[in-house]
Amino acid sequence: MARLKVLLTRCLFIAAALAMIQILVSRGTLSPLIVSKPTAVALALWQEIAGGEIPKLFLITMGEVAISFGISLVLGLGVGYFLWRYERWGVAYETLLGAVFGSPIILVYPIFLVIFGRSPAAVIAMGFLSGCIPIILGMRDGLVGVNRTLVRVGQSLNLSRRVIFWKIQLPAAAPTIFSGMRLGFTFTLVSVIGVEFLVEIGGLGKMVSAAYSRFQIDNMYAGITAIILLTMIFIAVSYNLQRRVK
Amino acid sequence: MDAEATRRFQTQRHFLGKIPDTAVIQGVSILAFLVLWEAVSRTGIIFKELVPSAFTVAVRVWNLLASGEFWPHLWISLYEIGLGFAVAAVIGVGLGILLGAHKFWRNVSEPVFLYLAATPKIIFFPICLMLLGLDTGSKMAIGALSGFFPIVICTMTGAREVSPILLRVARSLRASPLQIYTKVYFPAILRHLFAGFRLGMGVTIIGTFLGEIKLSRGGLGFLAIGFYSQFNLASMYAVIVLIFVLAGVANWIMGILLARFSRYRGTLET
Repeated sequence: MARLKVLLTRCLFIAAALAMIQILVSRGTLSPLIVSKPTAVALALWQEIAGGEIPKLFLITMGEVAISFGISLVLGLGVGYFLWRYERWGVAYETLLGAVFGSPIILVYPIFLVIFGRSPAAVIAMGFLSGCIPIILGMRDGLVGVNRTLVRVGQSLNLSRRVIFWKIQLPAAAPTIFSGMRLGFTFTLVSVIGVEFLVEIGGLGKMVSAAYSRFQIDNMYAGITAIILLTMIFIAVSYNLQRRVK
Repeated sequence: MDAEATRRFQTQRHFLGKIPDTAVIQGVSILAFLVLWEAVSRTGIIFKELVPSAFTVAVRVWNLLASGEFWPHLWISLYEIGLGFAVAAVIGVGLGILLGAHKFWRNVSEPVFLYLAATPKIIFFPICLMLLGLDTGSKMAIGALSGFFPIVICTMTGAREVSPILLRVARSLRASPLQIYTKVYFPAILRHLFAGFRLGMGVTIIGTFLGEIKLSRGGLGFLAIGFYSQFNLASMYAVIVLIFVLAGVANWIMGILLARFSRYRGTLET
């Protein structure tokens, strides 16, 4: 009951905020050249979806995200495993990777523009760079954090190193590894959409930038809404998956 | 286990003498990266003429610092970042304490903030441009918007963890709501506040520079993308290096502040 009340209040607040914007724009208090009416945005969003434009851009964005994340995953899990397996390297690289992770890494995107040109390759490279570090750190941290008693139990049962890894260490490390993957996916998604917007190529990010350049304000807000909805869906799905892994 | 490993390797001495193993690996890795960069640049095997040598970039960094061209842009960026961060901090902390102090309102608002925090904030930049124009205002706004979310979320987390005993004591002493916010909540959440400030500063810097790169009339981002348009790649790389140094210094300062205030705890530990 309490949860329902919270949910209803949240919906009511969002509806009230949208209604207020609608009234302020209709009355001319807010310039329609700057802020679109929520109803106009909803209509533009529907038209763009029904017309096939948003589904097409969505597929482009998701394609770029999938390639970036796929490369991040393969390389990230591999490097993470290496850094766990060879402890000296792991300890040394944890600091280096942490420093890169904490830096505003997306600001190197002009370098990728120079190298790959204004192409999806630049977007994918940026997505990969943002996504792989949390995956590496998640993989290593997960395996490092496995309770030694579990491993000792495996050893006392005379299990081989390979079996101990696959049957004991990897499942025990799974929540942290998945956490790193979730973070990596979020960073990849954000970077891909961000670079699409900045360079005006690719999918949904391009839609916002192009609509702004053409002064199609309703479409611009529709693009922003589509991106917010997309991010929300992926965050919700990944939280649910994370809960299952735990 | 990890701290134990770090200690073990830091006490293990390498053949080089007193230098720990980890430092040797780190040093060699950084050196290898620079050598690889230099080799790619000089041989031109891949990315021909697209990667200036590390030495050239270092010289350009020096030239930029010595020239009068760099400093006005740096002040513009610092102004935008400073004001953007201040706005994010004031609104984020105020709203974070207000909403975080009440369980119901915290539950209502927290998911909205969490979802919006994960959205790429730069897509809101056109709105900032339309509202505030091409000058510093729009960059400040996108910086503030970026920094707001980590600050409000960390503040709310801090407010949630404030010990009810502290609040009960304050109420029994007939403290006014304002006094409870300023004298109980604020000091009790300093640790979370500075963790939020550190994250917030990082994303404010990113938001501001991305805004400058996209559309602006000044700032280091503007300078970098200007060099890109002129195909003056060494100077572009040099500006990016300086931006990273700036971000590193900001992160270091916030880290010191976080360490300083981490000893404040809002919970009563037994």
